[in-house]
Amino acid sequence: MNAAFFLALLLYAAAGTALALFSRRYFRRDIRDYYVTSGRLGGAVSALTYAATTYSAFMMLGLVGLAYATGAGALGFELAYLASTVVLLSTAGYRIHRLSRERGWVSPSQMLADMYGSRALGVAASLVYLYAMLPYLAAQVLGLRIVFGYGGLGEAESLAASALLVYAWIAVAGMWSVALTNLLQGSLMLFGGLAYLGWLLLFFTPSRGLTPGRLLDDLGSAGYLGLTGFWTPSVFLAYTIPWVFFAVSNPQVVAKLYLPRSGRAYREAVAYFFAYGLLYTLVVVAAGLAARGLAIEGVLPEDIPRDNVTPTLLGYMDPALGSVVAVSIIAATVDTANSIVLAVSSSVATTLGARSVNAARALDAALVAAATAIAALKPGFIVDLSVLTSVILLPVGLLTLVGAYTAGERSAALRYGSLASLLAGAGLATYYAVALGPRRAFTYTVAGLPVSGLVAAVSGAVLLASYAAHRLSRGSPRRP
Amino acid sequence: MCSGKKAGRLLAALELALLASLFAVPYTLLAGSRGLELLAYWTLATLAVGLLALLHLGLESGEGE
Repeated sequence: MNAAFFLALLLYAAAGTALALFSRRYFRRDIRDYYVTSGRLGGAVSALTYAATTYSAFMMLGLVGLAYATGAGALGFELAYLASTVVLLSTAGYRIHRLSRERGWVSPSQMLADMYGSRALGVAASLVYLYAMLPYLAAQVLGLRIVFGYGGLGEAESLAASALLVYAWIAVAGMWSVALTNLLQGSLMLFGGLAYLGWLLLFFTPSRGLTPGRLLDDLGSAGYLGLTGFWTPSVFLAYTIPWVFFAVSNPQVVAKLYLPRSGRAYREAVAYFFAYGLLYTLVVVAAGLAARGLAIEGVLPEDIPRDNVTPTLLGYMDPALGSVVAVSIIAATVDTANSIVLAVSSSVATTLGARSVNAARALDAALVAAATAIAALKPGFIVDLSVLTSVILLPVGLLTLVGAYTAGERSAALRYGSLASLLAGAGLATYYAVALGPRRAFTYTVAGLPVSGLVAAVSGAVLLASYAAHRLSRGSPRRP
Repeated sequence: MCSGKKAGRLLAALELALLASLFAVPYTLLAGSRGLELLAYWTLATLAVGLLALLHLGLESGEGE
């Protein structure tokens, strides 16, 4: 095993464990505190836990590779996510934050059930979360294997280390330990990204007799600073539509809206997250574009598979720096994974009526074990399904968005309509996943509309129809 | 209160217009660009959306607290 990597991993695990143990002093040992800290976090911690959860290893592995392979369009896709997220956080997100304090929500499925007055919707949402998020969680564990491979770990050791890292910090004090370890992990991710780009532009490029300016000229001449053939309008939409709604569709980030202790802490969290997200996105895309420039100059191969661009570059780095960057990628995966586990577990727990912290810990362990089993057995369809996670969750995003403004209004039309909207959208996404395979379904178009757009349109139409029926039956809507 | 709501709606409209422009401008006005224009546009438009959204949040939370 790479000794520098082992040392960096050990330091990371020790620092995280110390923070997790420290977090126990804040933990009140009830289930709401375990899952959502009873809404007692400050602005900076809320911001970093949000950033660490939303930005996974996709940034340093997937987005670097996407920029390398397809050029500047990768920036547009990722910034469309950031811009729409900050708009959602400033509008519907703030309403959800306020409502969560009034209603004492513990989980996103409980929130939906309460918003629409439908227990069936809460149960259905929990099942959709399980169905959509387990493959995504398994993909995170599988992603970790690539990075552990850099450190010289075999497959079985990688899976065991991944499962242990994901579960250990959750079990100590739930969201408290996750949020506090996210402070470390979020900082490490940004530091790792900056160190990666700095090394690439200030050391590696000059060491090959090149300058960043020359790489830029190369990128411009080859068309990588414009929209390449990859980024047709329908592909751009297929990538961006699920991400535009990410902040209200994915349970691990929706649950983060419950954490800030006040409106002021919430505002601070949104501002810090926005600054973090903009910097991190620019750094990661710049690294991918620099790698493409180096490929044009013949320093790197022109045909590196997307997810292998960063691992390839790690091979050129000094082992100490390479190990820090590799551990920052592990941190990005672990913090996303443990927030997913908590969010899905909380949804199942509230649906089942579980009230003890030990039951919550057992549910968390079962989820981690299931995801690790999927990662080990690699059933093709289930692993590939992770590509469609955000498409399957789109109907949940629409329900959350509309529910933020209609919460408290009650009628049979809203109760049944919300359930029909969720089932129609998730069912349609599943149909295309089965008929075409998840990877093909992601960019497949129907009458010029990507499947994600179709899912949003169908689910949205059912929801709007039910809201119209609700208004007709009740007259003008009342605010909660 | 009423002017606050109007300002909120105006900000929301501006944010949505800028969000739509993240897709529309690159495929129309900047379709053939090969320099830094596209990267600069996306970055500046996102920065503008973010600042407007934070202003909007200040307005919303000011009313809510």
